Amino acid sequence: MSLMFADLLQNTEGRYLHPDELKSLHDYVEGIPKRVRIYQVLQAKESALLDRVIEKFQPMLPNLTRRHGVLAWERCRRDLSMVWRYCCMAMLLNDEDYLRDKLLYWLETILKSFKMRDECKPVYKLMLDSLAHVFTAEESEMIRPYLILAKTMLVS
Amino acid sequence: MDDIYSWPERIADREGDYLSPDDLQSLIRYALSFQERLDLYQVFQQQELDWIQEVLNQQGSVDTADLSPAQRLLARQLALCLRSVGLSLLMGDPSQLQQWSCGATELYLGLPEALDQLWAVIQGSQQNGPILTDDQRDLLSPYWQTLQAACSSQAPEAESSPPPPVVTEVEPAHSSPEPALTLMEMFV
Repeated sequence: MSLMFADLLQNTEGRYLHPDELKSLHDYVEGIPKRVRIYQVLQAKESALLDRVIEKFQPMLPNLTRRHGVLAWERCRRDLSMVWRYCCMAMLLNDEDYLRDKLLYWLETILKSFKMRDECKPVYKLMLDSLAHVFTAEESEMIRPYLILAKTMLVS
Repeated sequence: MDDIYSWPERIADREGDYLSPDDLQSLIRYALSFQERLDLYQVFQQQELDWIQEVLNQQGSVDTADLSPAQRLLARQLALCLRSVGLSLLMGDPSQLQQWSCGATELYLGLPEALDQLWAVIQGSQQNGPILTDDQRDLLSPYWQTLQAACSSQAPEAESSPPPPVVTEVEPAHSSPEPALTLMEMFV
């Protein structure tokens, strides 16, 4: 399931789990119902979040479509949605490495090669700032570490 | 249980998208069944040696202190089977069992049959009655069947195969503070 599960499966073949390994597993599993509930809220309100972010981001880049074509804002939203969904999955799995390995290393390379890091920088701050307007404090705090990781790797 | 479908596969299938409501419900069911899985895992840990000794007895080994190399190999491979099933059950992830290999250089020829015997022992053919509850047996059954299928697919045909190995090296297990012996310590 998560990297923790994969590590346990890989490293414990041929023996029973140690008590500390069982406790880690138990702690994670105990939190699954809460993570699923929050995951569903994050999914349901994705559009509301991105609407708000794009609305505030567009005035910051008035020349975006002229420089990158008429589909530029559509692509921007698509990419933000992708980052958001991977963040949500990483939250569900309680696994930052999932986010790094599956998305951020790749997207970081893309942004660098297209020299988009500076242009994209404000949008991640907008996403972080918008959390409190769309989600409860608990929901925001669950997803925030993953968004901060994305911001750090992609545009910082 | 309908969770005999690997979580890594589910997540890989949904990469870049949300998990389906069915998958999320399945994840919650897994979480809610975790204590039951943990209890069963601990039964495995506690009963492993007795169960294997029972199988060896059924195969005619009355003195487990004086096993042949082939019997020791069988005992170790049965222990590895139990530990693999137990871990997959605990994780709710049968994918490791689908690709199960005994980790030794050679598979004990009679392992599929010995697994059938072990399954009968686990289900409670002992004099004191069943060790597992019906719910535990239902939870365990699909994992056990997956292991048996994987094991049978690896076992050579009896007619065309060499005799059971006499001595085989088994990968050393990690040391464990648990009451259960490591594979290398079993029946030596």
